[in-house]
Amino acid sequence: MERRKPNGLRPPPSNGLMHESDQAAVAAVSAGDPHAFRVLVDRHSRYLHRVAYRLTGNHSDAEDVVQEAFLKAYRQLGRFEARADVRTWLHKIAVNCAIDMIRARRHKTPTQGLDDLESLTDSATSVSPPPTPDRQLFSTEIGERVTAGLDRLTPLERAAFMLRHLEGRSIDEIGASLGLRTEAAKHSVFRAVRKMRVELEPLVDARHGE
Amino acid sequence: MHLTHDDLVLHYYGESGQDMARVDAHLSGCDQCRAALARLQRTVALVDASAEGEPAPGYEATMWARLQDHLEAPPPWWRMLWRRGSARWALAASTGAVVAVAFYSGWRAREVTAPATTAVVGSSAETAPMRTRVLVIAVGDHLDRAQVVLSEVVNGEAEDADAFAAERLRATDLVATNRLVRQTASLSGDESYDGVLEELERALSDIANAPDDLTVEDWNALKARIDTQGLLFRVRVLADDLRAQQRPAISLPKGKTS
Repeated sequence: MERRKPNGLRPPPSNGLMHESDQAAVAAVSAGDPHAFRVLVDRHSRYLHRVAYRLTGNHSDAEDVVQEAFLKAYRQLGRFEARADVRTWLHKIAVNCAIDMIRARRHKTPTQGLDDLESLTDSATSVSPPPTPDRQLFSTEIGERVTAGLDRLTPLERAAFMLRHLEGRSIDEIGASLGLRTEAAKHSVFRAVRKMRVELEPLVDARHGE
Repeated sequence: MHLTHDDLVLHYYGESGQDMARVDAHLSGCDQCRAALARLQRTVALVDASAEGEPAPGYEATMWARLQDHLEAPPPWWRMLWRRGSARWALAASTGAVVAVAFYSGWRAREVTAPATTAVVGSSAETAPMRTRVLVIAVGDHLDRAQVVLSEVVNGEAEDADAFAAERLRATDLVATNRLVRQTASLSGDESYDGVLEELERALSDIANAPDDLTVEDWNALKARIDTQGLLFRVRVLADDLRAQQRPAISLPKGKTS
């Protein structure tokens, strides 16, 4: 059985050459034209929002993350290597901004800490209505089910799961990023997968006629 | 005894660690656990298929509106370098400043040398050769150091990881200096060397950003890129050409005044 390889929202493989408009924008901003930065915002903000949303779980936080990521990128533009890929660079900054936000929230709202997560697992047993078998509705249903499953996760579970599942971070790295012990990070991933399975397995069963 | 949910999750994400052999051995002989793993795989893979988190139309404009009031003109390059604070960057900054000033002066000197020989008077006549001499030394030094790095990479042995690590460090310093040289050349309006300097910067960046565990294939690909572009030769020509163009600028004013 093949093991998981991260592929979800990782930046598409680069051919080693930066997109021409990215390159021109970086050069123009570096030369003192802040308005040229808009090219990067227009090209990458939507993608970064999806990355941030999956980690934070709501659009408002995702917008804040994207804004902070762009501001950091702007301030650090001098460190950007001309040959690197802008999207990959922005992706890393956005993920780090999202992690910072999640960590800050964790310290401010201890009731959402790990000790209380078990109480939330009860909600995972209340399954949404069975999936519609109509194949045309299947992809829509996947999206709804994924959203419903992710809504069941606590912020820490969601972040741990997404960092593991989509970003390909190791559990050790996730623990270090989120300020958790390795065992705690591991159990966050376990609980997240359990909750996602409750929501998504009916779809898998319907698809495979089980 | 079958594998647990947690065993399967760790296996799926390649995090079984020391248990990997045990889990692999069990899976190879247990249809039920293989089926459970396949079901887990199909289930969580659905997360990849969803388009969750798509922002509303017009999001780009909204984000730009949020950002633009916070964007100021970037600080001068020397302040950015100073903020980094490391000795290496401080060295790069001072070297870069000398190179940039010298390069700019050199270009200017080259532009005005022939027609200005009758107009060069007083201190200008005395300082132009000095600036040109500084230019030759500073830019020549930069290009010479770049040639050494390129040459070591092209002629080095792929197995010699320590030697490559040393070149990578040198390349990291040279990237910053090269960028300043390019920017200064661009400001002066002379883009005749920009192509070579741009390719040199790319090559230096490639070397500087090469991974610690550079494979023989990676090294050979790097060599091939440098060879294909004839970069080493072109950098050498640029260095020679620059020096050759500066020689009359040094000697002409002397000839006029003597």
